[in-house]
Amino acid sequence: MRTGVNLQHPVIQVIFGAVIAIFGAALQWVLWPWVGPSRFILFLPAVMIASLFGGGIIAGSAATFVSVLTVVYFFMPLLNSLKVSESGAWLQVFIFVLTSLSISVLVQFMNVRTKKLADAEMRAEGAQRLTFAAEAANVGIWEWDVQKDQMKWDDQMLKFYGITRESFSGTVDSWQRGLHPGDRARANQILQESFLGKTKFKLEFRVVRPDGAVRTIFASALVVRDYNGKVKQLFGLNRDITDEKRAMEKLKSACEVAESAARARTRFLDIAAHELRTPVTAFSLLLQMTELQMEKGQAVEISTLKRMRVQADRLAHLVVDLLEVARLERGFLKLKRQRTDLSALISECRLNFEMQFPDRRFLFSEPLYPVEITVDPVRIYEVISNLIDNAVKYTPAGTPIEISMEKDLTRVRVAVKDRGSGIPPERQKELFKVFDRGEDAEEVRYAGLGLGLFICRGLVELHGGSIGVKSQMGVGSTFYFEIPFEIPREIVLDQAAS
Amino acid sequence: MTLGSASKLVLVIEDEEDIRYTLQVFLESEGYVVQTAENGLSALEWLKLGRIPNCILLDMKMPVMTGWQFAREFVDRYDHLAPILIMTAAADAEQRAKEIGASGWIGKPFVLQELLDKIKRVERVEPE
Repeated sequence: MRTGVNLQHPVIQVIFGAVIAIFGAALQWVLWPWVGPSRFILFLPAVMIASLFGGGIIAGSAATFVSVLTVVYFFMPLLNSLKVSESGAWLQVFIFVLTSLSISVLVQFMNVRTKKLADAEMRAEGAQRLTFAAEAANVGIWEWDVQKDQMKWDDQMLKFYGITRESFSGTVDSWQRGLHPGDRARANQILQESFLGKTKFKLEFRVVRPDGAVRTIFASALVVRDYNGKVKQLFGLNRDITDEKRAMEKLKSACEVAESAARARTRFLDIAAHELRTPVTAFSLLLQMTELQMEKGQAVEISTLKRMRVQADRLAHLVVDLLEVARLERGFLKLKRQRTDLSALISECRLNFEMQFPDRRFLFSEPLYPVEITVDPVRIYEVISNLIDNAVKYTPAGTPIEISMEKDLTRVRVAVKDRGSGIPPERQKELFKVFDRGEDAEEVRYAGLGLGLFICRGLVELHGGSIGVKSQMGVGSTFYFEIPFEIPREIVLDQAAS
Repeated sequence: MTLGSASKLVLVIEDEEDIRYTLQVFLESEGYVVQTAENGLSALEWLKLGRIPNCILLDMKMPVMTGWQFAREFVDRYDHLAPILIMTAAADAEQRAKEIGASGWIGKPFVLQELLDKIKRVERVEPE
């Protein structure tokens, strides 16, 4: 902050010069008895030179001018009225020189002081500006005297490292202790390389604050060497980039999500095209074959017709799945709820599978009492059938499939347990997403579009319930869903509104 | 219709049972001997028995071993002893056929007569 008057101001300098001149004149008047009038004219250039030397051109000129005026108008009449001996001419010269010198020293002293004050003010201002800039840029400033191992940190640095001025050791140790253990070795390596002049000291590292918070810091420094090339000092900056980094990472992961969704869609389209084309091709070839056989008057086998029907059904099934997904995604699917005996529904489904797959075992320990719940029986049947169908598809032929049901006061839970190879944990949460089936569809291909579990999830969620899987590699998987007896209000309202 | 050693042999590699079946019935009615395989691996196993087919009909997307993998393995082991016709739904079929050194391709679904024409065009004719 600027305090007092500006000593460099010309007006101040003029006043200053005048004061010096008056002082000189007064000194001459006091010394008059010894000096005498005849050589007094020597005094003028002495004052002039002294003032010029000390106070600059303005002060010098002003001092000279005022000296002349003072001498001519005030002292000359006084001198003329006095009689002083002509003796001591050398003393006179000596006193003149002494006077000039003392004035010069005085002026010089004043000037140095003025300059010092101005410098101090400038420095304070500079430091203030730097602090302001550093704060605005979220930058901390440090200095390290390598030979003495003395470190200076500004407040911002202390803030970054989460320590107080009192706990700051003032050595490089303070920095090293703050570093994340995982980054310490690399930071030290770069420091050493910058000492050797191999690299610039420029790096990113993590800092662990005493309270455990981790911040990411970008650091750079200037290495100052002495005339021998030995490292003398480091001047450096730290910048806290934690927030920027987080924002970048967020953006990046959002991009990745979008990209992977786009990739999943493309992959799905690929699979869908293939899945739809396969039954179409089979169907078309079967038809062509039949046509050729009929042309040749050969008998058409009933098994060929059955093959055709299976392909047509498969095609129809795929189309139904696709439509159902479209309806679920747009919220067009409506439930037709009614009181349903869930255990009877499961038994019916199990019976169907037993007829379809006579060589597989489907176990269901049916409760002795009916379990009534208000659901859309067609949709819940679809879910159960889908889960059992998956178990049949993805488990070895000899293994049993166990269906179970349990209820408490609020909900009923149905589970389908298989003894397959299990599902890796990272795949488990992907299972219920749309357009997802196996990572590399070109390598591993199962029948269908992989929409089954997504549809199941949609249907169960429409009932206010949830669906999930528990799986252990090498042991098997249990797919389950839970339906509450009372459908959550917001779901009722939501469905009434749509 | 001639059978026996004079008949040409077609190896059909296709995972879809109905397509395999139809091709077999159709090609046999055209006088070919047909060997089928449900994926590349079992086709390679069969080839180990020593017969080189006059033509290979190859599906691309198959479990266990895809058409691409089979074609690579086949060329590695038998060079281009038998022409390969790929049956695919892929849009870039022509380019892919070139990549694996196939003699031709046919897009699914296809007309049986067209397939027969293509086979006749590329099939290996044994020297008399």
